Amino acid sequence: MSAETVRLLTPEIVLIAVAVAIFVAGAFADAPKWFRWIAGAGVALSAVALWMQHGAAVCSGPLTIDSLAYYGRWLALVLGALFVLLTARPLAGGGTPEYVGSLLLAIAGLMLVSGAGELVLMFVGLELISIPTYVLLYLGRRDAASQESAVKYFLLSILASAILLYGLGFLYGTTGSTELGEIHAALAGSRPALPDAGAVPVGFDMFARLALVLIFAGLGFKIAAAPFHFYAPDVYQGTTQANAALLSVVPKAAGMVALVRILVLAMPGLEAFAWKLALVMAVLTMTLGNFMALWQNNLRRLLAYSSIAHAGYMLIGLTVGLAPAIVRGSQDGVGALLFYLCVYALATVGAFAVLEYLGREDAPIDAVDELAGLGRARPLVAAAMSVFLFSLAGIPLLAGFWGKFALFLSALGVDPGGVSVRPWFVGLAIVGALNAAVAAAYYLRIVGVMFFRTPLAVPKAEGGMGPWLTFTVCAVLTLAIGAFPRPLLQAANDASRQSSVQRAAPDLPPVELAGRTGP
Amino acid sequence: MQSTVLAILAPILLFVACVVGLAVVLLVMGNCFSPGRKTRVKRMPYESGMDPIHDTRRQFDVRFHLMAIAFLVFDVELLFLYPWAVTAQAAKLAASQPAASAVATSSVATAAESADSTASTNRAMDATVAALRGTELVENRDLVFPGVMVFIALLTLGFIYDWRKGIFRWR
Repeated sequence: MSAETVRLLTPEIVLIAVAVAIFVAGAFADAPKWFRWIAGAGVALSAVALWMQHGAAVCSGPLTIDSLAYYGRWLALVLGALFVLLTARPLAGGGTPEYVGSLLLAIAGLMLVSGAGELVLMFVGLELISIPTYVLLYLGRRDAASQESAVKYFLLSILASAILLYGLGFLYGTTGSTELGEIHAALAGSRPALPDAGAVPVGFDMFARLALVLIFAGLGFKIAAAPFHFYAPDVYQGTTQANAALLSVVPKAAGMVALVRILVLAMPGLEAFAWKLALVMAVLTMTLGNFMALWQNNLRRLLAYSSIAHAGYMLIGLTVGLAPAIVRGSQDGVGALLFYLCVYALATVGAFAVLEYLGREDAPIDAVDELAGLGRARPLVAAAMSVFLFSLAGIPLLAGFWGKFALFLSALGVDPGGVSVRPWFVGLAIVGALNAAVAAAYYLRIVGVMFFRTPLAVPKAEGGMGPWLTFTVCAVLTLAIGAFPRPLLQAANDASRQSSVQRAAPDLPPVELAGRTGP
Repeated sequence: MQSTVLAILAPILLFVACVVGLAVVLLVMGNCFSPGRKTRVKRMPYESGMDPIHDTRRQFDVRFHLMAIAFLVFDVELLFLYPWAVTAQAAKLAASQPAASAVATSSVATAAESADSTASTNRAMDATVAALRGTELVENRDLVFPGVMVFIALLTLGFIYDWRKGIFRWR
């Protein structure tokens, strides 16, 4: 903690200050419309602050501001702007300032996680996402189903946080530090961990593995990976479209960045164990998500299973990233993961924005059948929805295709390197491709319902300007990334390759991880 | 590997066993040897010296909970001021010795050098940690006071928010 740390945290501080101002102002004035504008201004101000501090990678105090941090923070701000737009409708039962403020806090939490180079700050960032999310879930709708989903998410999220904290505790106990740089040094053997234990750290490997498993489980909840996914369908179904969009994107992005930071960057020497764990979870998660999504009729439930499946695809990238010593391919696993995260977020937020736009306040769009005949009644909205669904399905020339392409390419690029592990990764890519084919079934079913069925009742489309703008922006970005994937893919790969860990002494420059870079 | 882990954990396990054993022994002894004259007044739950009116296991008004949570928030968060006071004192002391920073930096170097010999590893690491902490305090002494002021300001804002929302009003 120093003046430099505070300077680097300016974007987060701006967001949190604006959120607090909205909370307090909301207790004095009742002007729901204005709070959106203030929140939007806060996000813009934060973006300006982030733009001004753009520079070389620095480590200061608990922060590691490298290109991975910038990638995560920019993603957070883009998502923040989209969510402020998406929730432009004042809440029926009041509580708009609390809703908007909590939204900003969750975005600030995602930014903190992206820049955290230390376990405590990372945990605080994750909690800064979770705690406002409970408020958002409660404020979204006031009926029994919504309350049930809020309580369900609250209890399970606390359990997951406790498991994560237990894992972080073991990591601290094993390595004697909460700073990722020192953890890396201790696990790589360049610094004696636990000076009391003598020259050979006793039980070192065992406890490090225990920490890894517990951290994976705790963060697995955040990214909704099987077998920690059970809350997702119920919670999404019970809450509003905007909340479901937030839940399917923000905790997932935070969990993925945290997994990359802790498992890939800070825990060397455990790869042989870690990639197998990630591989099993990837296969389990995507298969389960896709097959369960096949017979869903509630749209939010379907998209919940789809979000589980996409967590599985992203875990392919993590699996490849966790096997650093044996990667020879042209595409780097973590880079593919980060690219996919962005592409997935745009398509998912866009899909939920379409549903929000079509629904009425008292009657949100629930069933797939309610979209019947949308292609004739509202061709533009139906076209935008198709763009998102095709992108999620990975149809070529849309953003989602490049995401899946990069992920499978990274898995195929894993080289034997003495040990015969290549079949596992080829198998992983094949399972991924088969899953993408299965997933196409339920995405195309929605498209079919929209274009080839006669309308039952044309949706009123009372969502207003905000959701309309949100899905338009998402659709344009999805098409643009589909046409020109290179800049974003490059940014994601840079974020992966140049991410660094902090050294013990503060005045040393951050070290590049030699093993992780490509050819 | 397993046996060495056990060897390290042995004192802890012994301690746990002693604690549990002692507790059990004390409870059993108390039950066996105490006189135990049970009258009606003695078996009554103690409630601030008043006769209990009814059973405590029933639903309470949510207003009690609001009040309790508000109290807890402000009370517990004020506890953070104590560690702050200690740190502020240390920072002041470090600042009053202008050479402290230089000494600290040089002792980092010496500590790192002497860390080679295994015998002095522990002492050297302790010295390094202390020295780093010293430099950090000297570097950040300007932030100690504003930091806690921001903290108190946030608490005050929370208080104003609670007040405006009317949670201190007994409706």
